[in-house]
Amino acid sequence: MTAHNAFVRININRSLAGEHLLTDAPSHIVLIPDVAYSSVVMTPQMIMFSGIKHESAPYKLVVKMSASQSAGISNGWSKTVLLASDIEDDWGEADVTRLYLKAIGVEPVPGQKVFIKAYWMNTQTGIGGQVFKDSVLVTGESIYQQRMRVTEANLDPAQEQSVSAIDVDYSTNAPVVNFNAVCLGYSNVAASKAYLEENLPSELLGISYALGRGMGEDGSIHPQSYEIQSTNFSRKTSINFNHRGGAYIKPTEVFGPGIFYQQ
Amino acid sequence: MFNSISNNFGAGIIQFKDVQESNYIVLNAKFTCSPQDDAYKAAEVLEITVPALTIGRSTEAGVIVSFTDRREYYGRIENYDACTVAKSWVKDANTLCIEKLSVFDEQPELIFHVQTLYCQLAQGGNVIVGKKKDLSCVSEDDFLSIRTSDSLCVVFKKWAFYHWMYDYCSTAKSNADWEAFFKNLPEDINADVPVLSATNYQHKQLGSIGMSHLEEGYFTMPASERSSGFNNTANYVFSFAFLVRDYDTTPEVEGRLHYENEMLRAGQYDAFSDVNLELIPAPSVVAFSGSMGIYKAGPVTFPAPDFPEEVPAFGAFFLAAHYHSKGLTVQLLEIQVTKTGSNTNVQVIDQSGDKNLAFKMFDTTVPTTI
Repeated sequence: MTAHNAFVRININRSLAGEHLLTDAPSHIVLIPDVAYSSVVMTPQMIMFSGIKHESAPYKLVVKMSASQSAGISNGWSKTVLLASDIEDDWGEADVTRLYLKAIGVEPVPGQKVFIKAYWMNTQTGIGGQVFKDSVLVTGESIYQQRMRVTEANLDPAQEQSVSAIDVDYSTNAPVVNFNAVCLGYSNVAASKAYLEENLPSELLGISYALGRGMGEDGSIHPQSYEIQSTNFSRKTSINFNHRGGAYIKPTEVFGPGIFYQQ
Repeated sequence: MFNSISNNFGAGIIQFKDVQESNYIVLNAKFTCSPQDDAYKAAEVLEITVPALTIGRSTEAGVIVSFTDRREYYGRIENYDACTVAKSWVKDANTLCIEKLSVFDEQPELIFHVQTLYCQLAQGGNVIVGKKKDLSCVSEDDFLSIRTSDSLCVVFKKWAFYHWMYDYCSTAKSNADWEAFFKNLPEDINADVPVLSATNYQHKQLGSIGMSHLEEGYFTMPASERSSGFNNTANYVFSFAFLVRDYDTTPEVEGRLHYENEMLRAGQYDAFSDVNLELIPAPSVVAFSGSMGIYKAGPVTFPAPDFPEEVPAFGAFFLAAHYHSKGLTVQLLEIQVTKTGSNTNVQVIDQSGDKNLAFKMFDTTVPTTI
């Protein structure tokens, strides 16, 4: 590769990852980690990597996939196209369904095969690592269970919510639920409510205590504690963030692991 | 327990008390640093380099950051110590991070109170249910009252979660040093725990803070630690901490493989109480006691948190008894202890055809590997 080739290649990579051009050549002696993941869910409705071995910044995942090929084809990697150069896994999961549909244009066909290329790219240098090649048969349905969490997508649009930016994650396999929510408060009650569109399983209904910190317009960042109750009522689940300790500030961010128990 | 290796903000060596499981850790530490230190000013994020942790990343948790502000008015020292919660996370197995808050930039010294659990997500299982214990306060002449509905601990073998809220104290003791006994607080917790509250007359954007001490089940708090305005209405005084217990991993009897848990839960309603299991590897014998009150056929599978690695997976048959209105029933149970990765499950199977799992069990038998 000539210097000019390197300049172009490196800066195209950086550009695709949203980084600006480099004018000085980065060191070419670098160690880029290998891609490792547990499985790829490949159905017409969902295309997702799971169990990705996480690599911190400045690494981002570059993924290329092909359209569905006949299951008898053994080498279809030349038919892969770029889905994205800046994929970050979300605790080992990366949902690329929308990226696939945008790049390929059609859903994968059950019974056929999709070819995959993936590698980590150091976005600071633009240098990519070893390409990992894979192929996956497309299935009609998947038994993959996405981790249990509540986000804004799970909120009931017909209900007035007093919590924004909610992300409550139950997948800790520990005696805590992880909270990340902004409590807006409602009426004159020192509490905020999130109404979900569907029920949570009964084993996830209970009580938690988590820390909060004020986000007052006057700069108030008072420390607080919140009791968080999740209950089913009329076939819907509500998650109630009830202020307990410290100054009640609206809004407040409730974050971090919260102990979990059931009455 | 371990010491930090270094940090990027001018603090000294930091000693941590720790509980490190395969998918979460609990850390306790208290240390100081100066925001006027050049290293602190240069740091964007406060980073502490530590010996390799059992987890390589975590979600954002909270640590209390405070500074001291005591002022004398008319011969009295008023406490205006101030605090808030800073976000903290495990960046990699050797790096603990704490966010830097600009509100503290002008202070000469900060105190960091790490009483924090760091967890991960997508760990192959949902949240494990803890068992709440209500704290109740015993004090001389009942001078101290706590909010019982929000004063609790959730206890595990090596650590406990502690949340406490103040209610009121008698006038006679309002300026005295406090000592009270908290029933149900594990007596092997020895820790200085921050007491936070809403009112801070000198630093209105921040909360107030004072220090209490927990030891052998006793709660103490000197009068000087109670902030100005402590007894104000709606001051919402509280403590929130994940505390490492002074647990001893040395078995009392050499070669003893022992597990006990006050209550295993399978869902909201199914419980296996007072579980006490002891297994001797050679000659292979297992003693198991516990009780259940489940009126259905089962089988029922209980997750068993903090299960010792040394105890292998096994199955065994036990006899149990159920005394009911029609007399005494002897029941044959099969119990299977299975392990998947770091998770252990205890499955209880009725082999008598009783169609319920309501019994008290104290039995010793021969286990088989499964």
